[in-house]
Order: sequence, then C-alpha cells, then structure tokens
Amino acid sequence: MPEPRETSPPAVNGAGRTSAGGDTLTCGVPLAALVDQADAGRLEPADAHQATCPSCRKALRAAATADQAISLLRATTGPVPAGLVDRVMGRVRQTAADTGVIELSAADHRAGRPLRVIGGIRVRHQVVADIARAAASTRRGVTVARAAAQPRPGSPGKLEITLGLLVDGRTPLPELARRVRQAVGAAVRRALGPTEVHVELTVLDLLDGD
Amino acid sequence: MVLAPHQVSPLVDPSGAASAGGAPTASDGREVDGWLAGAAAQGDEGAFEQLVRRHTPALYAGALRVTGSPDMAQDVVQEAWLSVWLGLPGFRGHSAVRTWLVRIVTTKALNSLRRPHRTVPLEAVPEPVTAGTEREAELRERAAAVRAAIAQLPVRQREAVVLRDLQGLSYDEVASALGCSVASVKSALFRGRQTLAVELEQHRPGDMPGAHRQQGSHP
Repeated sequence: MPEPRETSPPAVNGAGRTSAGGDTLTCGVPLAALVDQADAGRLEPADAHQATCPSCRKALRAAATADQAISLLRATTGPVPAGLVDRVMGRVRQTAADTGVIELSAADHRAGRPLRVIGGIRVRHQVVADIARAAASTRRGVTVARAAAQPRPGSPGKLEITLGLLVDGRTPLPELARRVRQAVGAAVRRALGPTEVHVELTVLDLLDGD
Repeated sequence: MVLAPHQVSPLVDPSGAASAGGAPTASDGREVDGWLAGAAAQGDEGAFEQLVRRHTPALYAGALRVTGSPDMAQDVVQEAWLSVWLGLPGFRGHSAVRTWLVRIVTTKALNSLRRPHRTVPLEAVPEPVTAGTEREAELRERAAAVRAAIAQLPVRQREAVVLRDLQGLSYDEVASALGCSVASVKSALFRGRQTLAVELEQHRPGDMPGAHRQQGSHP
C-alpha cells in the first residue's frame, strides 16, 4: 500500500496534484480518469498497470465501497406527499403577504425587505419596480424583461432597482445604460420624493433593430 | 427572436413539452424555466406555481435520497422553495434554473442532516426485529451511516458527491452549480468518494458488503 503524498488539499489514497494543475495519483494516473472509469462501472483493474499498482488498486477498492454505499441512498424512494405543492404555495403567498407591509418607523432598519416607506405611505417594492419599468421602457431601443426593487442592502434609505433588458444592438451600451439610469432615477424621485437610487442593469439579449 | 415574459403562453405544459408539438427537449425545459423564473422574479405567483409544479417531484426525490426521511425531505423542499421565491430577484441565470434549484435543495438537505433534531423521524425508530424486517433494518442502519459519513465530508467533496452521485446532475451542471471546472469537480468527487470509503471502513468495519469482500482480497 503506498504512502499518501503530502499535498494540498490533503491527499486521499495517494492522490496528489501535478505541477500542471491536474490531480493525479502518486503513480501518475489522473483522478479524472479513475472517476470516469468508476462511472462506467469498471471498478476492477482495467489494465496491466492497474492490476499491479497499489495506488490504483486501493483507489478502485475505495471507489467500489463508495459506489455500494451511495447506491443504498439512491435506492431511497417514495411518493411525493399529497398536497406538497399546495403547502409550498401557501407558505409563499403567506410570506409575500407578510413582507408586503412594514411599519413606518422600522423602514430604514429592515434592509432586505421588499418595501420602501416614504412619508407615511407604505409602498410595495413591486410598485417601485413598475415605475422603473415604465421609465426604462420610454427609452428608444429598450424592452424591460424584468424589474425588481428593494432597499439597498447595507445602505439604509437607498433603493436598489434591478432591470433585465432586451436592447437594440445599434446603440452603444454605455450610452443606453446612461439614458435608462437617468430616466429611472428621475421617475422614481418624481414618484417617491428625494431618494438615492442605485440602478443595476443586465442586458439579457440584443434585439433586431427592425 | 426573444420573447418578453408576458409573451410566454400561459398554457405552458408543466412537463416542459414545447407547445408547438414534438417531443420536449432539455433546451425546451430550460427555456420555459428561464421565462417562468423571470416572470416569478417580478412577483408573478402563477409563474412561480408552474415552476413549483414542474420541479417539486424531482426536488423531493433528491431531498429524500439525501435525508432518508419523508418528513425532513418535505420540510427541505418547502424551505427551499421559500428561499427560491425570496431569492429569485437576485437570480442572475449563471446556471440553469434546475441546477440552481437542485443546489438550494441539496444545501438545505445537507444542513438538515447536520442539524440536531428535536424529534426523531418515525423511520429512525427501531422496529421490532423479525425475520422479514431484519434485512430492511440493516439496510436502513447502513444508509444512515452513509448519510452521516457524507455529512462529515469537507464541503467541496460533499457537494460534489451529493450533486453528482445522489442528485444526478451532469458534470457540466455540477461545475456550473459550484462555479468551478469539470476537472475540479472530478477531483473533488474522487476525493469525496475515497474519503467516504475510508470513513465507512474505519467506523463500521465490514459493514459495507463490497468493502468487506474486497478488503479480504488485497494485502
């Protein structure tokens, strides 16, 4: 049985790391090759080297042990409990309702809640997202695929608006992004009052210009 | 041609079949998932429910394989979907929706294994040993030992073993879920399987039938 070679991370059954970055056993056989061999169900020595190499033999023995152990778990099956989807949706709807309203005094101290409280009016994040969506959509060549708004994590009083855009590829993206941010920021401040707005943009795809 | 979420047919087949006819393909499913997730991220509960209906059977099966307990698996799936609902606005689509879901369920299932339980799952209560159930009880005990050993693996090895060997993700999917290369996944998987075997052999000598038989044939 070979002595495991000291490597980082710690060697397992003589596994080491080559200078090229590929992981191998101490005998030089790549770990990936042994994984592929095990996945193919060939858990016995497959050639003359493996038949005589202590590292390979030990690795294959361990692979066989692991395979049998894991097969026990793979055999664990059972029917999906009746009503599970309804229970999931019930919890989701309850959560959506619970996070739909927060108290005015706690507004700036509950980062992560999908709400923004302005002057005693409770505003759902979806409303802010809709304002942002409408504003961004006024920019030529921009279609808003998704929009979300939430208090900016770690920055009380600031809003983070996230937009996923489909854009006309003929307009340079930096210019397009500037126009969208400007429109969104103005619309949100017009609706909610002075507010620091951070607009995160993701271009999901380019649309044909026609 | 790119469709906006509102242009997606509300009559999407939950099985993932393309509405235009023909056999559904993996890419059909991924595309539908992507649009459903996009709409759900905007608060569309109907789209989210479709996602839940499409994926809950597979996610529950995976959670059951990891936890071994129907009750725990059910809790895991519910908690996972809640996390998905809350996390959807931040989902960037770096991996497929299905891969993302499987990883969330896997993480929660593994956490549930490592968490002390206030109650004992019914199936963990030893049953009276009879001729007919002795073998089943032995298998349950072995499976519990395997789960305990998996739960103790180093985190990257544990994730690789569970995502690949229990959840059945492809190497590309595991790599995407873990944010690393396929080669790294295979290395972690190799080490995880080896560590698992060593743990099982050290703590339960002779318990795994294959290990016992093969150990005897080698010096």
